[in-house]
Amino acid sequence: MSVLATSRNRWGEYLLGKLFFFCAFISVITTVTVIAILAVETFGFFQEVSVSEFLFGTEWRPLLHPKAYGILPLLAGTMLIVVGSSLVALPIGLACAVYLSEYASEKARNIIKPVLEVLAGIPTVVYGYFALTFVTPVIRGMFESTQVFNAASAAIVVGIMVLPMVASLCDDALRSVPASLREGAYSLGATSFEVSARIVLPAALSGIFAAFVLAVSRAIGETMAVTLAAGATPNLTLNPLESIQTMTAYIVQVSLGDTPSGTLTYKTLFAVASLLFGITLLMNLLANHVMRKYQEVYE
Amino acid sequence: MNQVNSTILETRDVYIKYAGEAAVKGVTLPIYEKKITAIIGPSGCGKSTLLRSLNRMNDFIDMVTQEGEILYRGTDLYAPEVDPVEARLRIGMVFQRPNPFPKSIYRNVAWGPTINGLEGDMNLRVERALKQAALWEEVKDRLDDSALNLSGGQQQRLCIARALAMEPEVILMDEPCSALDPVSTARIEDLLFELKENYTIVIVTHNMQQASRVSDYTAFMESGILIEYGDTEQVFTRPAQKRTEEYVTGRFG
Repeated sequence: MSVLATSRNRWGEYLLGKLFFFCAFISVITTVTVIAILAVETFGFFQEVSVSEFLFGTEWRPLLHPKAYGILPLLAGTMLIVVGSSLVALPIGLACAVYLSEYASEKARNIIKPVLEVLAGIPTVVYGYFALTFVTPVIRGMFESTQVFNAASAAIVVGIMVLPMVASLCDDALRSVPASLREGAYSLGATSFEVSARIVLPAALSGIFAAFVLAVSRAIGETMAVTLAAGATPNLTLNPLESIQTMTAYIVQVSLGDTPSGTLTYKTLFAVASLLFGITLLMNLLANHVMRKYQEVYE
Repeated sequence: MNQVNSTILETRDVYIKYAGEAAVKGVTLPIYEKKITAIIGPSGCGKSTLLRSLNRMNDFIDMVTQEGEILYRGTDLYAPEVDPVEARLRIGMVFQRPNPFPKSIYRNVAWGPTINGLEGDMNLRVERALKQAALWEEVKDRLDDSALNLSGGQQQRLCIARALAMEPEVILMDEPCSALDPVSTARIEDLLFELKENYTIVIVTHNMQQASRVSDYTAFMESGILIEYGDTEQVFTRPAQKRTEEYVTGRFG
């Protein structure tokens, strides 16, 4: 018999360890399964439709005859939303972050931060309704030719939706710049604006860029608001006042219908989802890479 | 040290409070032009707070309130019509830890003069400042390198050069050697003797040897109160106050 107690008595510890491992394992298994299913069905899709037709075709008509499987109209729709929402969210979000980190008093910060968090917590379907019942009528008041469903309205609300994330991530990036750099700049006779724009912003650039990439990635994947407000017309256009369809909205449209599994239409879902997944994965990897590689190292 | 000194900065009965608690209590202190004034005292005695009030760096700390007057050439620095940015142009600062900008060596030195639109040849100005800070020989061939690649001592001399490039009248130094090794410290002390020709220097230090070596005048603070002020030689060899004697001889506390 050893002088030390054996670890056999700690069976509770042992079981807990196994339990935690199992929980971690579930998320890994889920990811692998999703990717596997996407890959298999997408492969099936490309047995029937050529890759070049899918990537370069200018018409998307998988539900009506004559059928066409060109993804460009859906990509264009998604891009309209991304560009439009970025125009709203990136500048306003960054300005908001600069205010919070460089100008706001502790008091103002304690009010604005929670408000931003509330904005981030609103369900996306509410934003969709807001677009349809408020933003669209306003746009139609300004431009008469605007269609009831249009990209602009959806893009604006998606922008408002991702704005809190941009503001919060940029705020983190700006606040990670050491206070000593600001003091150094102020001691040389700089104004608040010069300190923000010429010292703090450049020093936080990698974090800000990563925030932008994540925001774009979120806008690409956004579904509910664009389904409600942007329409269901796969339309190869750059006019934001027209009805369009995004990749995500197409997936919703077909998922809700009664498409039999195994058909080509069913497989289009997976082809579109794969592309969507590929794009957002790429964006997230890019954001990660930028964060790691260009992060300024301070003592 | 017997010639007539002119006062460039002067605090008059200054109180500085952090969230209501006084860190500096009724300090009246003259700063003479083109001399080195050292402020010594134990940690937390208010010496850094007092120093930071001399170019309005406490403005950035929300909780700070201040009473009394700080006169720069007879003008109250805290008068409502005074622009703090203008004050900092005349009164530069070097901090406890080197804080170079994440930019090239050249752009660190040129930054202040550029944003303030100072006239003249910028290359010449940068070279002169780096020479005055005794850094030129070490960096003249790599001005475009990042300042963050310099050693700690070099970074601190770069920060001094950065302040000098503005051609201020006064340079405030907040324990400028506390993060440096003895060799770098000695270089900066040598530098101070040369800078005294053209600049007024106020240096906060907790290193008494440093204060006695470099300064012309010494102020000793404790618990926010100015205990003693005078000629450095007198403060260190014949202090008037018992507390000062105990502190400078190391029998403190």
